Amino acid sequence: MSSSALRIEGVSKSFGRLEVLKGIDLEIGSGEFFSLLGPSGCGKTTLLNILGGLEAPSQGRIVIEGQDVTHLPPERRPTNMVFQSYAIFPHLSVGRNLAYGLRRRRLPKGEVDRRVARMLDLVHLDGMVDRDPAELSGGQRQRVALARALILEPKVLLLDESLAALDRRLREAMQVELRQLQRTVGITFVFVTHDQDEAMAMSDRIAVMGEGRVLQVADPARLYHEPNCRAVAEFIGSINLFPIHRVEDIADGLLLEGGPLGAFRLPRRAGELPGRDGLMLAVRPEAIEIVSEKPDDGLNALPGRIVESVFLGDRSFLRVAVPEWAHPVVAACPPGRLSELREAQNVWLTWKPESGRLLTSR
Amino acid sequence: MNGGRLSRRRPLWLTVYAVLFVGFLYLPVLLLPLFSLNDSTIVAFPLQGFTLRWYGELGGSPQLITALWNSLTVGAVVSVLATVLGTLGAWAVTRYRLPGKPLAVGFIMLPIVAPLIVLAVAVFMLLVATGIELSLLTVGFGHLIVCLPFAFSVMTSRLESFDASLVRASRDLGEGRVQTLLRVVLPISLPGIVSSLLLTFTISFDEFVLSFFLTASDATLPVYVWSQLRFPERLPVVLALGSLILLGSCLLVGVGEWFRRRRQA
Repeated sequence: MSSSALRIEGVSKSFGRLEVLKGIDLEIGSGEFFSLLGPSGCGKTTLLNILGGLEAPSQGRIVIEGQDVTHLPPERRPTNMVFQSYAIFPHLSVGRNLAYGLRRRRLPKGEVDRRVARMLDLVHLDGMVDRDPAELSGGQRQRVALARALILEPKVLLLDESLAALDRRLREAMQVELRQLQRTVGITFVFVTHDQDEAMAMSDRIAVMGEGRVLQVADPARLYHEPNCRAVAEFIGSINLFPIHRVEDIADGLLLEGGPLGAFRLPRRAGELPGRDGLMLAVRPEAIEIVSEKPDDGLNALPGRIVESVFLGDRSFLRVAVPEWAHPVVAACPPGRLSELREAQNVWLTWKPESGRLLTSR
Repeated sequence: MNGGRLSRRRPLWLTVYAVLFVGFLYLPVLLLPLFSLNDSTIVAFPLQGFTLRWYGELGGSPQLITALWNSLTVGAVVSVLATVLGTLGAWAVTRYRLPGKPLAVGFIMLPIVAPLIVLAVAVFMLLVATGIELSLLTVGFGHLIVCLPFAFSVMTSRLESFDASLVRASRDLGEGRVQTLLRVVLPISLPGIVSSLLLTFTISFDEFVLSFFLTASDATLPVYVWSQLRFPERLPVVLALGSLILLGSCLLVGVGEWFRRRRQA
């Protein structure tokens, strides 16, 4: 992230009375693979359309490499888009789809053909130049859409749920390929998705969005380990949340009063003593250890009864019912131990103080 | 297909019914070319012998040539106008959220269900009341009313399947509105446009009721044919004319269908 390729300054968008985007500020670095992640209806596609000029913001500015493009129509922006439906022109061959945007550049025909061939090669569609789009598979259409946008060498490539229509196996293969392609061409990618695995697998940084706002911007590891609010924690991976009624400052950290669930310990971290209302203690399933005896100090320990064990091959987890708490706690379980833990068995759940995080329920 | 092999043999009576049905529809039409080649002014069996003279007499009738020319001109102009207006209407209905859209669509489609005779009388009275002289122009106006719903529905069904993101993609790839229209919208709608032109031309070409009411001295072909039926000795010539029109329609429909399939392939 050497310099900023794209700056979004205070962008808001309303459709009538409906506020879809509420003051978005983002800075995306040159050559970065940046994802906008969020549930459907969070405004991420609207933001992408605003970047591409397909929709106008109600407020705010879009700056690409120092140039204010807020009021430029799509055809005059240094951005290109890969549409969710791919939007391949059905009346043109693969080659002519790719060459579509080059016509305005008035290149000699030989040069156009050379660029088309090179781009087809890059997306592994060599030899398909004369194919009719109707003959292509979903994955191939996706590559045509990608090549058609990349051939114009945009400063920013916008991708709208581009892998969502592919089946799972192909989608995972394309994730790797897309990431490699992005490194090869070195173009800034802004990728919209509702699939957290997809965003985690490909992105340099991710902006998690919810209800028209950016909740957190961070790299995938940081988002996972240090979510800044309940919505982000719940959206990225699975997590257990325990309500906290009172926070007490004690000698070697914080003592969290969890009501009927008992007390929890947490190390004191910089900037982590938020307001008192709606606090939650968040613990990832893989941080929870399953033991048979009650730990000595009784802190960070919950008694429970196994209600379900789920085996997923590479990993497995248990759902454990805890008295006085409505939601079963999810705990990861080493596959080797699965055989000794049975349903209806009574166990204790415990975790190290530093693996918990105190969150506001935003 | 598997499903076909698994199902029972189709009953004989269905086959008989189908053959009878098609025969009932088309045999009378086949009498047209048959009697047009018959060497007699009386249209009845037994046939008297083979002749081409009725076809020869066609060329010798300037009135007929004028009527044919009138019909072709009106058909050409009306089909183009109806298709242009129908396309614009279909574009609006399929692309935008409009207040009162069902009502507007209902009004456009009304001439299909309204009895033609009522429409013809209404337009006739309107023209008389406003003092506009009856001519081919008024005939064309009447034809436009009946052709518009057909053009509109053909284009609506074509444009409904048109993916709006193609227009966005074209803009995104650097083309402005006009170029997008020429390079994306028009080529994709072309099969619909051709269908609409053929359909509306055919409707205008054989429309009788409105033409009869709205024309003064310039007869269109159907009006001319009707006027000739009063002279029994002219009947074989009319049959010859009918046969040629039949042939022409078949060619037109065939070409249209071929064009449509080629586009889809």
